Formats: sequence, structure tokens, C-alpha cells
Amino acid sequence: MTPITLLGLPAGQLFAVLGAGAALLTVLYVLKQQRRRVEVPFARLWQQVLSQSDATSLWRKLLRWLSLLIQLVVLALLVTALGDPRLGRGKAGRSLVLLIDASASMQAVLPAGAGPPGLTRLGRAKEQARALIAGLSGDDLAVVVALDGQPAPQGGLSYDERELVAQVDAVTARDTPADLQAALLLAEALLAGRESPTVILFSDGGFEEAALSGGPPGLQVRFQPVISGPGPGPGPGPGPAPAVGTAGNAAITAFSVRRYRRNRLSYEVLISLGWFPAAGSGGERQKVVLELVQEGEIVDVQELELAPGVQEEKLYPNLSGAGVRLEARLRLSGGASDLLPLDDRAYAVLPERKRQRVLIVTRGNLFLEGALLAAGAGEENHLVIEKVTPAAYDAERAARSDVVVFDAFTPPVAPDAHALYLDPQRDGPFAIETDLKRPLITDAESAHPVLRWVSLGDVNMTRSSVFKLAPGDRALASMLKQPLVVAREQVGRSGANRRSVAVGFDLRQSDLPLRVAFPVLLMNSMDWFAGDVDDDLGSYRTGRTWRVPLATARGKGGRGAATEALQLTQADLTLPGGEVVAVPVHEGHALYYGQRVGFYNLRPAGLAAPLLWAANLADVTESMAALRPALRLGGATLSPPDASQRAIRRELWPYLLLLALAILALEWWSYHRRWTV
Amino acid sequence: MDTQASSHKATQAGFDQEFLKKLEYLHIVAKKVFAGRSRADRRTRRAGAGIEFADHRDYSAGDDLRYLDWAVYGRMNRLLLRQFEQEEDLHIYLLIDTSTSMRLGATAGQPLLSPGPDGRVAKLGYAAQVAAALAYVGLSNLDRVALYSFADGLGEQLPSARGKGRIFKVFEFLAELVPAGQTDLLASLREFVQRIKRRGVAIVISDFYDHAGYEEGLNLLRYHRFEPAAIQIIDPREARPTLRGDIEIIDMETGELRPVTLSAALCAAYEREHAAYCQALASFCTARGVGYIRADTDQPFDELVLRALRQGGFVR
Repeated sequence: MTPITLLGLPAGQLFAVLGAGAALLTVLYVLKQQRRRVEVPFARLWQQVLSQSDATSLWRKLLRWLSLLIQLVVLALLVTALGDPRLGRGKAGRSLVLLIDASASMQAVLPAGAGPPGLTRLGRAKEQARALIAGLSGDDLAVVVALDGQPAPQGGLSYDERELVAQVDAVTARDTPADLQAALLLAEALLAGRESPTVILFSDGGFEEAALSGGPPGLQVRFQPVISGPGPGPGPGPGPAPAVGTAGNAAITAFSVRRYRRNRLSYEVLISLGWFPAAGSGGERQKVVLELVQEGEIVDVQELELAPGVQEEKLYPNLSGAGVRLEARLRLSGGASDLLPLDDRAYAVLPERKRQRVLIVTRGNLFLEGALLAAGAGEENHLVIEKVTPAAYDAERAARSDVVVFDAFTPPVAPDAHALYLDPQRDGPFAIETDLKRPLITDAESAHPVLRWVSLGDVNMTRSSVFKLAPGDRALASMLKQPLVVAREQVGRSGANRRSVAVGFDLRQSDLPLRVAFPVLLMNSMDWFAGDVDDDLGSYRTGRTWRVPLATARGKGGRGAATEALQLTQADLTLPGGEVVAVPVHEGHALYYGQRVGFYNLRPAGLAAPLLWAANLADVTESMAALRPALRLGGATLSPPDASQRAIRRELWPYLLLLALAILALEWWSYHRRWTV
Repeated sequence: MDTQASSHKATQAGFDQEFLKKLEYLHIVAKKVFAGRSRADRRTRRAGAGIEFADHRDYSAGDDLRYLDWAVYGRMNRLLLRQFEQEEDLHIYLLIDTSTSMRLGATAGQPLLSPGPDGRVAKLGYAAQVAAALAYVGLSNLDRVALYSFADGLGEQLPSARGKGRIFKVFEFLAELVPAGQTDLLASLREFVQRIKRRGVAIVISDFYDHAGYEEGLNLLRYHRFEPAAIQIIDPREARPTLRGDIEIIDMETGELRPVTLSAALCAAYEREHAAYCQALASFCTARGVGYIRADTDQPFDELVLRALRQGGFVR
């Protein structure tokens, strides 16, 4: 027998309500009814009639009590309905995860003829999910999971149709790829230990092949393609995709901006474009118009012709300007619209880069001066070199520079500027533990911006100092855990963030200056001091957790900014849609999982300048907007969900209410026919 | 002038000009109905001073010797007395039930003869109209007409009179009738037969709703050699009630209360019971040679009177 659970009022309250109601009804029945008086000329005739009917008076009395009984039954039904009784779950029930694809490609509109105009794939998928929920039996337990870059359940496992529909309604499209494997693992965890675990995937089928390599064992996965129709049912079998018209999707699949290494004041833009015609349409080339917009003003317009399925790259060299917001816009020629408008725009932020004033304190080092010249010194480039001898070194002068390079000289006090120490002395800012003769660099922190594309493995040197690391120091190169090259980031006397790099050996006693690595090391150091550490500037990919350094949010004269950034735990982030959310800050980095393309504006408390960056989809798989009628997972074709048959719901209150109404209607009918009076 | 005043009074009581026109019409029709029949010279069975031979009877001491039939004595040697039919006027007695039950159908604040919103008059008003019509016919035919009201006993009376000029007195009498009291037909008619020595036609206009029964009362008239006739006044609303639901019925005469829940079936049962009651009255009258007519108040009274006259059961 199926147990019944009360989810509404507790049994005690129900009995109290029932008792009070029954008492009231009984009192109303027992109370003498005030009758209308009617004069009759000859009551004897009535008495004769009534005496005949009095023969059935016992039956009439019974009928009267029957009427009371009916009222009590109706009351009991209503009170029981207040208790919201639910039937327990039978063994025939399934455990379902309704996996609704909410990735970027699901924002594509359905082709003409496959649904109402403007209906997106996600809209269709939600319609299908609602239809499936409407057909669930009362024993089916289900939960809705939004399948995007971070699959997450929209609620708890529930038998309740309304709750499940609410979960479906809560699914919104994200500008991210879908992580099918994570979703399947999540479904497996949700359905662990439950009866008949089944995953129903509502999707366009636009997944990478790697994501379709396999699913969790023991989990039955069904696929409901969005192209098949509004409701679950037998979908089309494996075979050619149905003709969906001639539309396709033109996409910006990459939007990269980088500064020239030679001149950091200029930059170039690389845009990758693709034309992905819809299945069944022809393979004609597509004319598109590409616009490049800087701070809202169009700086370039080009008409291109894209071959289907081929990604074409467009390079914009030698761009410069004061603006920091870049946007690429793509549209089809002739005013037509493509399937997925999301990837028709791409965004980038180019951080402002000023000239760097570099003060070299040296007795003369051609290796150093030559390398700096190669790194960008010159009238039209970003480095302004000034050279002084150690005797002429002045701390105030150093403070006016952006970077100070100390060559075999160490001031007693570190300058209030970024600094590069070459073979520093013992009583300098970097504590020296010992000296090594003819050391070999065994470990290098190649992930550090200073050592990018720099190889120090076979550098020879006569001797090198071994530094004693202070808190916050990072050993960039070391020999058997003995740091030979150290990077430091600390707050300067002015309160601004100050970075410094110490190289433990003299360039003249090493073959490093003879290597390509040396100018690269210098350029990297200058970039690190300037805050530019990436060649691909100012944009992130959606569907990933971004770790945005707040220290780059340097304000003018931002005293104490680095310290404050390290102490921050939260910052306000303005999303592309204008919504402001609080994001956590950890170790000076804001953490946020990007789900929307566009410009982001982070305003950390206490930092004068906001931090701006952009995010793009940059996912070819999503931009292809594939629409698959069938899907193979782990080598097996996924079957469509079973056409379910609607069974009795576990919610009993509607039935109780209907029964009470039916009894009342019957009682009303019988009363007016004088059967129950 | 006196006649005019009476006419005005009658009009005020509800006997309007229309009513009077109908009576004139009845008069003409009644003449046709009774054509060839001597109305005013009715012969009684009583031997009297008539000129038409009726029968012989044995002579007894003290009889008037002038009526001895000497021819028979000569042939048969028997003393037989010749009897003649006596000529006298017909007495018509109209007995009108004024019990409370006759108030049925009355509109509050309106005279009983005035029709209500549905065009019907109260039972007593209808009875008065019928009585007026019969009285007018009787007066027009030189009969002596007397009117009596009764309820739990004999009430007001309008003594016998003849001649059409008396009709306004009749109107006045009828207009002043007020329904009151409980019906006691036996007591009322007993009082009537004790008071009235001149036999005649006694027309009882009533609903015959007597808890003690109507049989003995009507029989009493017969036993006292009246020629009784019954006109039963019925309001269709009492014959076919349309009430439904929980009500409390109250007897108009006895004031008896009884709660009842009226259903269609119960009303149908009552309708059958009422019809059976009326049928029993009709059967009783027919079996005993008592004229009977059922008068529903939704039926025009002139039609009723004509039917009564044509059937000839009331006025002979």
C-alpha cells in the first residue's frame, strides 16, 4: 500500500479544524429552522397528505441526517485537502535529470518552419522540457540542470510539477560553451543510489567530439533534439539533418589585441572570422561587413567574403590611440541576420600604456644599453633611457623615474620606483646569503612574466650571489633551491606598488648578454614593471573563472594601492548588462566566473581607477551552432526519451477538492429535488 | 334617489356598472332559459286554495265539507275529500359562507370584491358576485330571495323580498360581508332550518371546508324539505399549490401550525387529495339529488351562473 504524507497543515491542526467544523455543522443542523408561514384555508387536507408522507418520516429523518453526513464528508474532504496529502513514491518511478543546454549556441533562433518566428533553441528546449514534465507520472522524481560552462541544478529533486516547471523557467542562456562531461558527472552524483537514473538531454547537440567520448556508466542518457518538435517523443533517427533553410552563422571566433614588442605604444588587432552555413544549405561564400570600433567610433570598415567552414584572419597593424575599448562588429551584407547574434560582436580593452622613464646607474655596460635599445628605447618608442654613474646617483632623481636599473651598484635604500638590480651588493635591499662559484641554474619559474620565453638553463657565469628570500619574494631562477634571480613586489615609500628584480651575477661575468634571452628578459621586466604581462590584452574567454589582478588598477599616484588590493576581500563588478555584483577578492585578485560577453568594470573599494576588461565567447564549436537531430555518446547513439503516459499525480488535494465539489453538486441537486429533505 | 344612493353604494362595494350590465344580460338569458315555464305561479304539493285538482283523500272529522266529492260518494259510497294544488311564490335562500377561509385570495387593503393584481377576487368576493347574480335572477322572476351569511353559526340576513328593485339591498348586504370565524355548517344550517319555516331552494355558497364535515348540514336541509344546492368556491391556488421549500402552514380558521417541507411530489399529493375532497362533495350531492357546482375563482362568474341556470339544478 502506498503511504500518504501530509505536507500541509499537521494532523493535529487538521483534526482541530475538522472537529470545530463538524460541531458547527451539527449545531446548524440541530438549530430549529425559521420557516416562512403560509396560510392555507383547510389544513386538514395537508394533514392527510402529510400523514401519508409521515409513513416515511423515519426515512425522511434519515435523509436529513444523511444530508448532515454529506456535509460532514465534504468538510472532511476539504480539511484533508488542507493537509496537502501526497501519495508516497511507488517502485515504478524514475529518477530524472533534465539537462537543458543553456550554452551560447542555444541562443540561436530556430530556422523558419521549425517554430514560431524568433523562437530560440533554448526556448524550444524549455517547451520540450515542460511537455515532458507534464507527462511525468506521479512517481517520477526529477531535477532540472542548466547545462552551460558550470552546470548547476536549478533546484532540488522534486515530484512537484509546478516546482519542476519553475526550475525550467529559471534556466537562462549563457554566453559560454557547455561542459557536458561536468553535467553528466553532476547528474550521476544527483542520481546516485536512486531508482532508474536517467538523464534527458535537451540540446541542439553542439558539443565538441571530446565531450562526447563517454558518459558515466550506469546512467541512462536520452537525447531530445530541439529540432524534432515541441514535445518529447520519438525523435529522428541517425541520418542526415533535416533541411533548415539557407541561413548560417557568421562569427568572430577570435579577437586579439597585442602591443608591439618594439613599441609598446602601438598595437595590432587580429580578428578571426568564420562562416558556418546551416545544415542543408548550400556552400556558397558569404559576404560580410566587418567594423572596428574604438570608444564608440568606427575606425575601420571592411567588406569580406567568407568561405564556408573556413576561418579567415584579419590583421589590423599599427593601430594607436588613446581609447581603451575596442569592439569588432560583424554583419551579413544585405541586412540579413544570421543564426547567432552573440558572436557577431567581440570586445577588447587595451590598457593605457605610457612611456617608461628608465634610469640606468652604471659605470658603463654596453650589453645592458644595447639590450635596452633593442627593447624599445628611442624617440618614438616607449622607453626613455637616462644613464648616470653610481657617484651621480640621486634618490630623488630615481624617484622621478619609472624604472631604475642598477648595474653592479646597490643603493643603501631602495628607490621609490621599480628597479632591476644586476649583481647587487650585500647591504642592498636584497639580502645575500652566500656566494656560489660557477653555479648552474637548475630551476626557473618560467610561468612568471619576467621569464616568459626566456631560457636560463645553460647560462654560464663565474659567480653569483644567493639571495635570502624575504616574504613575498619569488625565486625566478635558482640552483638547487638557492635563489639566484629573485622578483619582489612590495609597497614603495610613496605607497605605490613597486616591483623589483634582482639578478645575482654580473652580466660581464656571464654569457647571458650574449644570448637572445637577455633582451627578452629585459623586455619582460619592463613590461612587468609597467603592468603589461600579456600579449593578448584586455579580454577573457567566457566559461572560465577569471583571476583579475587588482594591482594593475593603478590610479594616479595610487599610494598604498597594492597594499589595499591585497587586503581587499570583495569588490563591485559591473557586468555588461549594467548589473552590479559583488565578487570575491583573494590575494589581490578578483575572482569571477564569466558568463556574458562584453565589457566588465571592476571598482575595488579604495582604488581610484576602475579596472576594465572585456570578455568574448571565442568558441568555434558554439559559433558553428550545429543542430544535430541525433547524438552519439561514447560511441552509442542516444535514444529519445520515452513517450511518457500521464499518470495520477501524488498531489491529492485537487482530487479531494473535485470530489467535494461533486458531492456538493449532488447534494444541491438532490436538495432541490427534495430528496434529501 | 334612494336607488341611486344604493347604486353608488354597490359601486363602492365592487358591484360596478360592468357587473350590473352582466346581471341585465343574465336576466335576459334567464328569461329564455325558463321560457314556457310558469315561474311565479309555482304549485306546491300542499292542498290548498288552488283551482287545479290534485288528489283525493279520506275524509276525516273537521275537514271542510265543501271539498267533499259527492259524485264519488254516490258511486262508491266513500267519503273522499278533493284536494287542489296551492299556488304560492318560490323562496330562494342564498346562504353565503363568511368563514375565514373565504378570505383566501384577498388583497390587503382592498375590498373583497376588488380583483387583485392577478385579476382574481377573494373567494368571498366571488361568492358574493355569484350570490348577487342568482339573487338578481330570482328577483327578476318574481321569486322571494333571502340572503344569509354563516360561519360558525347563522350570521347576518337579508329577509325575503321580491322585485328587481331589491337588488341594491342585496348589493349592500353582500358588500358588508366580512370573513370571520370557523366554518360550522351543521350548526349554521340547523339554525337556518329552525328559523325559516317557508321551504324553498337553499343554495349554499361555500368552500365547504368544515372540519366536522358538510354531510350532516346538507342532509339537514333535505330532511327539512328544502331543496338544497351547493356551489363550492375554489381558488385555483389552493387546489394546485405552487409553494416549495421549508414552510410552516397555518390553518386560516383554526390557526393550527404545522411545519412542512413542500416538494413537487407533496404538492401533487395534496392536489390529488383536494380533488378527491371536491369529488366526494360532488358525489355526495349527486347521490342525494342536491345540485352541485364547482366554481373556480378564475372562472368568470356570469359564465358560472349561466351554466348553473342552464343545468337547471338550482332554480326550478
